[in-house]
Amino acid sequence: MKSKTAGDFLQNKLFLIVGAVLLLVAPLPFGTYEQNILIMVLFYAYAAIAWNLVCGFVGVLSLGHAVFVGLGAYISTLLLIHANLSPWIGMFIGAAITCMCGVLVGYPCFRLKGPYFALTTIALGEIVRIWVLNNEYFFGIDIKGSMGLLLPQTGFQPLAFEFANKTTYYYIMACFVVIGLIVSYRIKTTKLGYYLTAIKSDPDAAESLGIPLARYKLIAMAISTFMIAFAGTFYAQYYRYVGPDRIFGGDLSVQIALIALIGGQGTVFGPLFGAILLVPISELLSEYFGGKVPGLHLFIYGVIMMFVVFFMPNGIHDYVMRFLKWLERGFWKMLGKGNKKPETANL
Amino acid sequence: MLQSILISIPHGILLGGAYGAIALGLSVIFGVTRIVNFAHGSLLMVSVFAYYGLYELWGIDPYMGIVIVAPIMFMVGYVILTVLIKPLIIRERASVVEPTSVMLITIGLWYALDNLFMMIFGSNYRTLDTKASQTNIVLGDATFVTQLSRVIAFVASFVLAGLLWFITNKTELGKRIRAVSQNRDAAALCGVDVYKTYGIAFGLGAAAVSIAAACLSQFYFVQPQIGSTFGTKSFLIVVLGGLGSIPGALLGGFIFGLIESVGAQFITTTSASMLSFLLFIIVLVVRPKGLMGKL
Repeated sequence: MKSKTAGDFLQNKLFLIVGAVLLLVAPLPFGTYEQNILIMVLFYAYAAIAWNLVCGFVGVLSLGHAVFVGLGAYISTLLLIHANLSPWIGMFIGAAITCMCGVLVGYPCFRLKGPYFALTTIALGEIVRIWVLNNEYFFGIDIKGSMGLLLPQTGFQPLAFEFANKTTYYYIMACFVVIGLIVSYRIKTTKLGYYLTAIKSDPDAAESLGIPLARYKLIAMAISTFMIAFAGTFYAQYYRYVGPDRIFGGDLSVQIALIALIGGQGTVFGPLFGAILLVPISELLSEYFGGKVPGLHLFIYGVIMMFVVFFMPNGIHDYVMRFLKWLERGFWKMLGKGNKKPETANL
Repeated sequence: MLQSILISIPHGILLGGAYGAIALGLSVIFGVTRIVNFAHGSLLMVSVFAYYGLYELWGIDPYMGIVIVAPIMFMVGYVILTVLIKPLIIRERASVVEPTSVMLITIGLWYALDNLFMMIFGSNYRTLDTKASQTNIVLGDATFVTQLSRVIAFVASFVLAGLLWFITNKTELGKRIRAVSQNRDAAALCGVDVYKTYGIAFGLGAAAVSIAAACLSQFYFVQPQIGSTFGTKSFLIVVLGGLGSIPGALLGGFIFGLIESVGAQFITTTSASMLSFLLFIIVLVVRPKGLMGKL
C-alpha cells in the first residue's frame, strides 16, 4: 500500500493549482487597462462556458444566446432603476426569468435539425433586438428602447453591485468562472453528462435506450440560460450601461459561440482556453487599430474559426491539454519524480 | 392611406422579385448539397463590390459585367466547395455525427469575408449611378414611380429562375445534380462524380447570386453590411418558400417583399423585418417543408 504523499496529491492537479494561483494574482501587477482585458477574458469565458452547457454538451448550435445575456442584464437593471432592488438579488430574479424563457424557446425549437435550429436562434435574437430597439414601454415599464439603460454612477456601493475598483469586478467574475467550471465538470462527470453525450452522439440510439431527449435537452438549456443571465447582470453593473444593439446583438452571440467552439466545445476548460486566446486579440486590436480598420478582430475570428474547424475540429482544447501535461511531466522530471505518468481526467 | 397601401403592393412585388433572385442561388445550393451556406450573403456582397469596381474603374455597366463576374463567381463557388467543404464532408462521413462542421466553416467564411471587405472599404455607403438606376418608370401621372433597375431586377428573377430550372431539368448536368440531391450514394454507384457535381451546384448558386447582385447593385447601396442583411433574408425566404424549390424561392421572395413594403406603411421598416423573422420561425416550427418544398 503506497502511502499518499503531498506529491501524489499534486500529481494530477498541478495545472489546476497553478491556474488557480494565476487567477488569484493576475490583476495585481497590472494597470486598469490590462485589468479590463482580464475582466473581459473572464466575462467571455463565463458566457462561453454557459453556452457550452447546452451547445457543446448537447450538440446544438445556438447563435442567439446573447438574447439571454440581454434578458438577464435588462431584468436586473430595470429592477434596480425602477424598484431600487439590489442587483445581487435582481440577478437571481433575472436568471430565473431568463431560465424560463430559455425553456420556452427550447421546447418547440429543439426538434429542429442543426442548421434550422441555428437559423431560428438567429431569428429570435433579431426579433428581440429589433423589438427592444423600437419600443419604449413593456407592459408599462419604461425600457427606454434604443437609448439603452443607464445605471446610476455613485462610485462605491457594494450592496448595489457597484465598485470603484476594477480589481473587485475581476474577482467577482473570477468567482463566476470558477462556479461555471465546477458546474461544467459536475454535469460532465455525472449521469446528466453521460445522457447529454449520448444525445449528442446519436440521438436515435439514445432514444431507443429510453433516454427522454426533450427533457434532458431542456434541463441543459435551463442551466445554461440561468447561468448566462448572471453574465448579463455583470455586464450591466460593470459598464454601467446596456444598449439593445450590443447586448441582444448577433455579434455578441456569434462571439460567444466562436469562443466556445474554437476553445473546444463539449469540454470543461475549452471555453476558458478559447477566451484566453481570442479576447486579448480582440481587445488589443481595437486598441491599436481602433476606428481605422473596423472589423479587423471579427475578420481574424472568422479566419481562426475556419482554420480551427478545418484542422482542429475539437478546438484548441486537446492541444492545450497536451501541452500542459507535457509541462507537468517536465516539471516532475525536474524534481526527480519523473517515472509516474500523470493521468488527468479527460476534461 | 388606402392609396399608399395599394401603391406599396406593386412596390413590394418588384422588391420581392429581387429578393427571390438573390435567394435562388441559396435554394439551389441547399437543395442539391444540403449545405447551409451561411456565406451566401457574403458572395452577394463580393459580387456587388466587383460590379462597383468594374463600373468605377473601367465604366463597364453591371449588366455587361455579368459576363465577367458570373464565371468568376462560379469558379469561386466551385473552389469553396472543393477546398473548404469537401474535406469536411469526407471526414464527417466517417462518423455518425451530424455535419455541423460544414455549417461552422461557412459561418467562419461569412464573418471573414464580410469583415475583410469592411476593413478594406469601410462601412460607408456607395452607390452606382448607372443609366438603369437613374431612369425612372412613371405610371399614371406620378402615382407609381420606380427605378428602371428594379423592374429589370424583377424580370431578371424570372429569367434566372427559368435558366436554373432549364439547367436542372433539361440537361445532362441537371440529371446528375438531381440524382445527387436525391440520393448521394446511389448517384455515386451510378458513376456520378458526387463532389464534382456538388462543386458545380455550388458554383451555379454563386453565379446565380452574382447575377442577382448585378441587378441589386443598381438600386441598393454598395456596402459590406449588405452581406449579412441579404444573407439572413435569403435564408428566411428559402425556408418560407421551401428548400430546393426554385418557384418556392421566388414565391418566398414575393411574400417577403410584400410584408416589408406593405408593413412599412403601418410600422417602421425595422419593425416590419421583425415580422419577417417571426413568420420564418412560425414556418419552421409549423411547416418545415415550406410552402412549396419537396424535401
